[in-house]
Parts: sequence; C-alpha cells; structure tokens
Amino acid sequence: MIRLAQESDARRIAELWEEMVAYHAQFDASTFRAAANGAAMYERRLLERLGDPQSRVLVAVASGEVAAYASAMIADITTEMFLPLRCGLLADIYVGEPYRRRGLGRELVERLCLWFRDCEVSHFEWHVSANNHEALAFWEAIGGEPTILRMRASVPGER
Amino acid sequence: MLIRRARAADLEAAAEIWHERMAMLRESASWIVFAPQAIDRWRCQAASWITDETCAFFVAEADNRVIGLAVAAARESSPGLYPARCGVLLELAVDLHHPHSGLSGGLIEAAKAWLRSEGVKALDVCAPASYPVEDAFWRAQGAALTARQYRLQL
Repeated sequence: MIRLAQESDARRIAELWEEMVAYHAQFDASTFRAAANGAAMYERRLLERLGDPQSRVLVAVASGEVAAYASAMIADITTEMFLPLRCGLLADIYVGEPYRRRGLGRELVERLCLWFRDCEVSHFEWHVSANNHEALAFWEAIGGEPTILRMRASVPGER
Repeated sequence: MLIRRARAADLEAAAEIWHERMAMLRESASWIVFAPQAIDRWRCQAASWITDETCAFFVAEADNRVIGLAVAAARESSPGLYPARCGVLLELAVDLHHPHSGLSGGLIEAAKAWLRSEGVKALDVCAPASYPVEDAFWRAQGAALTARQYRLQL
C-alpha cells in the first residue's frame, strides 16, 4: 500500500535513509558518508517537509511496516538566465532490502508522477549514483533523458 | 596569461564567453533554453558573484582581453552527509576563438586554491551528458563520476 508519510513514520524513514547511505557507500564510500547524527538531521528535515505543499513524501507499507519511501518536491531548478523551469525533483527513493523486487519502487514513482501532474509540472528530474548498477537498470526501465553527469574532484591540500 | 579575481569591468566580456559556451552546448542539449535577454541576466547574476563572499569569480586575461572565467562557491552538502561543505563549480567557460594551453586547468586551479583556503576538500562539477569532451576533460582533472541526472517528460 502506498500512502502519504505521517509524522509517526519519520523515525522509520530516517532508518531507511541510513540504510540507503550505507548501501550506496558500498559503491562509492567517498560520496556517501553519513554524519554521526545524519539520520537525526534527515528526520528533522523530513518533518519540516511533511507540511510543505511543495513537497511530497510517500511510503510503501508491506508486512505491517514502512518498507520503502520516496521524497520529492516542486522547484524552479534554473538560474534566471534561462527560462523558468518549474519541475518535479525526486530527492530520495529507497526500498528496504527484504522488500525489493516486488514493484514497490515503481509504484512509488507512479504515485509521485500523479502528484507531479497535479502540480502541473511537465517533467521531473532525479540523480542516480553512477556506480549503483541496480538503480541505473531500474531507472533505465522507467525511462528518461540523461542530462547531466555529476562529478567530484578532490581539492588536495598544499604539498 | 594572468588569472585574477573578476572586476565589474570584466563582466561584458565574461558574459559573451558564457553565452557562446551555452549556445554551443545547446546544440546537443535540448533542455538548455535561453531566457530573453539571457546575456544581461547573466551579467547581473555575475555582478553579485564578485561581491558574494561565499563565491570566488576568476577570469583569465591575455593581451588585455578576458579569455576565460570560472566561478566556484562553497555550499552546504545534503543534510546528514559528509562533507558538511562542498565546493561547487558554478561556471567554467573559455573563449573558443582564442585557445590557450592550460587555460581551463589554470582557472580550475585558482578555484581549488580558493576552496582550499575556505577549508573545502571536494569540488562538485556538472558536465552535460551529451558532450563527452567535458566528461573526458574532468576525468583528466582527476574528477570521478558520482551520479547521473535524468529528466522524464510527464
């Protein structure tokens, strides 16, 4: 069952976020490093979003618990030099390990698409970790046009 | 070639260089759409970068002409993730008609030196997915791909 997240879900969603960061760290440990109080910070940010009409947090419930979640928002992502581009942003989506391959991720995306359309945006954007091949395959199946490569360079100290 | 912090007098030339780069990228990236008076808008935005203490706006100059620019900023990272602050490259553009060896690399080094002075240890950059030259350039600079960004029409 997919439903709107409630305040009582925030702790569980933060746990899933922590799992998600640990999962991604397997592929890219330098980019995905949770702060010591990272889950608490995420939970706080999530609670702020629950009452924000420009944000949407959905959960998938399976076997009586929150098994997956997705967090999205509506934003103008361009700078003023370009035509205003109000669009959907899918910030996070994660399915707990025991609940994968049941279609929960796709269901969450489909429900978010309904909300995006309701908000009258014509498209939505998301990032996929470059080394998470399972996620890349999932998103390739969903579709979409690749637009940007996000890269990171170190800023070494003085030698 | 001299690399220095940008001044108000540089903005006109810098805006032209920025516009030419975006016009080139637009040929292979349909999602880039200029606003009306895009150059003027960019110039206004760029003026704020000169005075913004969270940004560093560099230009490269040769023969008394601006031939390239780079703008870096130190920003908060995603909540809950390290590093708490990260460098972001807001702009990098060079005059395509006056190629200078090491021009982009020199601008990036200036941006990195400023980020280092701000205590920032990582620089995030975005390269157009449809323009492999930039991907290759950044890899040569030591950058690693972290994520792919997609767009889906509804």
